[in-house]
Amino acid sequence: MAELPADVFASCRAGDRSAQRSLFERCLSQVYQLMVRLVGVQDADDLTQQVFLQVFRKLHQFAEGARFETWLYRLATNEALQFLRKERRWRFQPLLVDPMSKKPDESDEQDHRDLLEQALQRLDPVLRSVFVLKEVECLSYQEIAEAMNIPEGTVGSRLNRARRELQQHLTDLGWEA
Amino acid sequence: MNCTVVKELLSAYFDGELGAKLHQQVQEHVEDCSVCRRELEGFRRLAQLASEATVAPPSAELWQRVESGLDQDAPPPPALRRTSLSQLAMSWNTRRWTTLAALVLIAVTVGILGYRSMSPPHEHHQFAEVFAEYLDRFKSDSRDAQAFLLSKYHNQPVTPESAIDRVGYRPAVAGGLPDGYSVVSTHVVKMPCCTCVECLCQRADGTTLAIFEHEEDEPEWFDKRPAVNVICQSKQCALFELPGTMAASWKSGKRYVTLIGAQSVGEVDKLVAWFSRTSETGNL
Repeated sequence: MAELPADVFASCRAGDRSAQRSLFERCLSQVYQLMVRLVGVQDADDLTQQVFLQVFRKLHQFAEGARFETWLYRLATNEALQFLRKERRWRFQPLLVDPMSKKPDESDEQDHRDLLEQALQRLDPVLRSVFVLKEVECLSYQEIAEAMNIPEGTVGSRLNRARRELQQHLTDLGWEA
Repeated sequence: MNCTVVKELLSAYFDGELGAKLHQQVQEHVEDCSVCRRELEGFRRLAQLASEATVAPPSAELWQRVESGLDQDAPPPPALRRTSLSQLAMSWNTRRWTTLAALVLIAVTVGILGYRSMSPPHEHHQFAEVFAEYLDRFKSDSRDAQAFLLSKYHNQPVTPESAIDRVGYRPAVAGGLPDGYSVVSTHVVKMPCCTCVECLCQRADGTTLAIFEHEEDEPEWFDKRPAVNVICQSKQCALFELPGTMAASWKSGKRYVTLIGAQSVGEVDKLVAWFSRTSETGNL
């Protein structure tokens, strides 16, 4: 995320729409990407909207001097996990792309995207969050621990589980590395 | 280092999150072990898949939707309204109760703060600093580190057997140590967090390590040093990297054992196994 102007938070808190839009545009791709991976592409727009509403409603709680990205990731991960708990989405495994309807000219990239999304949906939401924060958002263990409010020492063991289970789900879905 | 321990550390190794010493130990194992190497390769392929799978852009109207939600949050302009006498009286009653509640809250807060101020000032913060210095000194001179710690807190030199009179249990080291280790000195130390048994031990090569036994888990000893959780001998064990050495802490029987100055994860594994056997025979 590009560096934010120093006064952007104060302006956002004061309800300045142009500052709020500027913050939104700076963070949109990160939040949306995280939401696609955590809740799936069908609900990613709704959840991204919800995250930004929460960002602007709770911005007074963000301590200036702290790292905004960590605060944002914590808020976004909490929203996604709450949503998944409520919807109990992980009990279902939606088939987003019917393999029989796949056109022969569809790219490998599309294949990879669909495979990963389907495999991620089969993973426990907490493990999914740890994996996505590491592999997609490239956070350090310390940042993941702060974003998920878990001890840093447990990040590695959760990533071990996430990676092993994800590989198994991918293999079940026909992934050939 | 065996496969069980390496498997616990594999993600942290892959992500470059281990300290230099642990990283090297895992690397050496992976070079020799095809099973762990294959698993590591799987992690690499997964990372590649995640990096290749791009995400389509979000809906173009997303900002409008956020803005619309923010507009709904804005408070409505204050409306003019008539207030009856009874509403005024109710309002006054509400204010009176609110004021009373606020006064009670202030009194309770002042009481709590006053009580806290009677506690030893910054005792726990000071303790964290003292223990951090002890850990930092340990590698270069473990005896100097021990003397420093003992100079800070009330302590009593004991024999492993006689410690029971001061702590109420027979410490694990009273049952002896594995071959190649001997006891240099044992103290019962009264620290702000707990009273524990500290035993400085010597290896056959003359190097030393400290074994603490305590009744509660004491993560504050390591303050903000990151822990790596591993399974040693079926027990969850927290490993901490220290300057030039490492520490480990685990629950053994009814109490906790903390090791300062371990040379390798293999040594931790060996001592966890030793103390597990000791706890089964009733010492811990």
